[in-house]
Amino acid sequence: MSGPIVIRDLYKKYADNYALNGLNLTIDTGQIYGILGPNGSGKTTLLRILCSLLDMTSGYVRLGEFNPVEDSEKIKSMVGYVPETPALYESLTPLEYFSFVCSVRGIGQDVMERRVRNLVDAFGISDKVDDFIGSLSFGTKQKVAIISAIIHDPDYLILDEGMNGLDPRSAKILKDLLQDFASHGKTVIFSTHILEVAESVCNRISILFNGKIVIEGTMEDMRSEMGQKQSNLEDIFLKLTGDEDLKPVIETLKRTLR
Amino acid sequence: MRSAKAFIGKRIMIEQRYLAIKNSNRFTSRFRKGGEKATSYLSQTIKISYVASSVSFIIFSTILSEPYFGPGGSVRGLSNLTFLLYVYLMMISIYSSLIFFNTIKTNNLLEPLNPLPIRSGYGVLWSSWFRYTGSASIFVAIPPLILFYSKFGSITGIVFGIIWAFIITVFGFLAGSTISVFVSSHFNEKKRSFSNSIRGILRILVVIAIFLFFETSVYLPKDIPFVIPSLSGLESYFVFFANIPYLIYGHYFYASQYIYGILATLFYGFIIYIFYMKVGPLIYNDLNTTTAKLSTGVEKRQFHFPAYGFYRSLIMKEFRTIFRKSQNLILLFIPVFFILPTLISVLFYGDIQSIGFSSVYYSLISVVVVCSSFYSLVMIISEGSGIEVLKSLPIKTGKIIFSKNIVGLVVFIFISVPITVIFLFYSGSPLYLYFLIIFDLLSAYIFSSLFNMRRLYKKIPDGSSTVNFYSFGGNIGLAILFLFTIILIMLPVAISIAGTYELFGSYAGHPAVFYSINGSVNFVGLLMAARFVRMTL
Repeated sequence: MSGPIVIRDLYKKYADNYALNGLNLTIDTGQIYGILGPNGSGKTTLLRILCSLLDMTSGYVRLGEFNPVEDSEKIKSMVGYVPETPALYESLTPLEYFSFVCSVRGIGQDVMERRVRNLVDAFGISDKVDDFIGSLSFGTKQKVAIISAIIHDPDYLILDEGMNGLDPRSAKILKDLLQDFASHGKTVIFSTHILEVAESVCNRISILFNGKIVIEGTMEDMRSEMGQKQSNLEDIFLKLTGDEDLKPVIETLKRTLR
Repeated sequence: MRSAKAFIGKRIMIEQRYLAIKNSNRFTSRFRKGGEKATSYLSQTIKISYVASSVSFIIFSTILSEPYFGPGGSVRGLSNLTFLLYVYLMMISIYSSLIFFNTIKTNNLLEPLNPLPIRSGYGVLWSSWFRYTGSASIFVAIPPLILFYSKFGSITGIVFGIIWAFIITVFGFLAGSTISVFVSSHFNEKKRSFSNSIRGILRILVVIAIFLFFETSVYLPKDIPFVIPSLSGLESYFVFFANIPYLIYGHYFYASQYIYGILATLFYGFIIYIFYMKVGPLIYNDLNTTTAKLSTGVEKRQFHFPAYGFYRSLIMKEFRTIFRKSQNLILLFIPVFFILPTLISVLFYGDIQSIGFSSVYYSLISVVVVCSSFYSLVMIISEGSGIEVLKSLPIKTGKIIFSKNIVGLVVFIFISVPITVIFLFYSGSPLYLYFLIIFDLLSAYIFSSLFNMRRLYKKIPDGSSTVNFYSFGGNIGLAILFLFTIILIMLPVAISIAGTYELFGSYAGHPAVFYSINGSVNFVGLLMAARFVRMTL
């Protein structure tokens, strides 16, 4: 069964730069946790370390009792991961791909059939299941990636910009699914640039900047910490990431383009 | 515009290297950011690889040519060797062109250019390939030309030799890109039916048949060079490919001979130019063709759901990714192009019944070396961006290697068994040798490819989002892989030779004993390799 995610003093170094710079975070089970941050702030690096896809430079990371470095196979069987850009076998059809993923994850035939049928119908891609993945649109590929990440009912669902390319119907279905996951004691972590989605879906949010968490908590916690009762997530985000006053930038841009 | 095209040509090459090494520790530890330093590092790796390829071609060719300039050497022998070197040059160009187009198509490298108001065209691809890769192989033809000049002072030989090396290189590039498009057509859109897969394989067999016809027709006139007995006078200048040694080493006593040589060169140069102009745009369009699917609306439907066990599912995935993607399928058949010249020369030149079982065996072993090296690499690079999927699933590396090995083995059997049977039939070998040798070759293939694949898989950088030919060092990496395979396969052969000597005082007359020992040693190697791979996490 899943336990909390605990991260202590996590560092990831590339060349002379730290993508993650002493990050500390605890994510309890049953939460939908949003990771926000500007481009290059370390979100993807963090998520890939949690999925055991990337080694850390130093630090302590546990998903429940498991360590992503030493218990890689166990972690991968507990996690469902949707990468930033869908990485799929383009010469397979979605149906063949789901079958492959289910077989590897040891899901029985009956369960597999039922889940695939329901998910494919829900995401509106049942007319695409026999096409090559390589010939599908970006949004449809994203749906295939999402289905293959949730098909084994993972204890931890990690989505890196998981809403990218989804039509409103599918985005709504995914949001409901995430809430259902969390209500069953599973943990959902997702990074996004769509702040409205984070604000409406997540129980807790952290904002990453230069490899560190600059604020963490519920929306209420954040507002009270910032002392701005009326502010929304966008205001908080821009203030903490040093982009509070964008007016001069926009003015310069307008002049340049004219 | 010219500088933009030069930029694109260079960028295509740099992009290929970048995709291959972007996640490696070596690269990420040095360059977190891009910019000039990273670009210059990537350009440097391209230059180093180019120089290393050129130097190795020069060394290889010099070693082969040098004996013909000693006391016992003859121009006739040298012209035979030169002919083989040009065949080799053509093979390298075809293979390198296939790899080049494969990487472009797999990584959609031309896609960023589509929205830009620039017609890059086939010429950019040609110049990118020739400048950074293809021209290196021309060096394989140079050493005998220089040695010949230093001995006989024939400047004409050098001029014709270099022009024809260029013509053959362009021909190889065109042939490689044409094969790439010919095999890949109809590999799109809807799921492929079984008959479509068969059609794809048939297309490759057609290509191989054309190649086989070309090879045999060139080899069959028994003594090709400057003096093909069946060819004389004017025609010896105009038989494509067979005329090369004649043009280089011919004695030009009369002005008419120079004129014929120049006419033949101009004629084939013109044909290649027309080929380039006609085929180039078709190939470029094919590379730029992307398919977009329109939604046909949401519909409830019943579908057949394929369900397999763990291993079968992995193996099916391997078969599908290999056989449905033309780029991968072509790579699987490249070894055939490399092996055929050697095998045909042994069959037609070697007087197979009298050369002895060891010579036949070494020819067959070359099939194992080429296939084992190549398939280990191809089975891994066929993953492409799928490597991220594979790494995110709870599968032990050992199991991945086994499943990939099985697919490679099936193709190897398909290629090697018919070749072995033909060889043994022609050499008049007894039936029991068929079984011993086939067992021997298969076990040698399995154990060497298991070791190779494990070694390569371990080299994939942590956190990789894609793998391609350059992830393992490009041509130099492939050469090291060949060397490693040769050592792996020749170790049991050395043990078997020593064993047969120990028992009988010679090994030439005891093929059954030799093959029994060799097969047993290979089988032990196979068990060791399997254990080694199984322990791999």
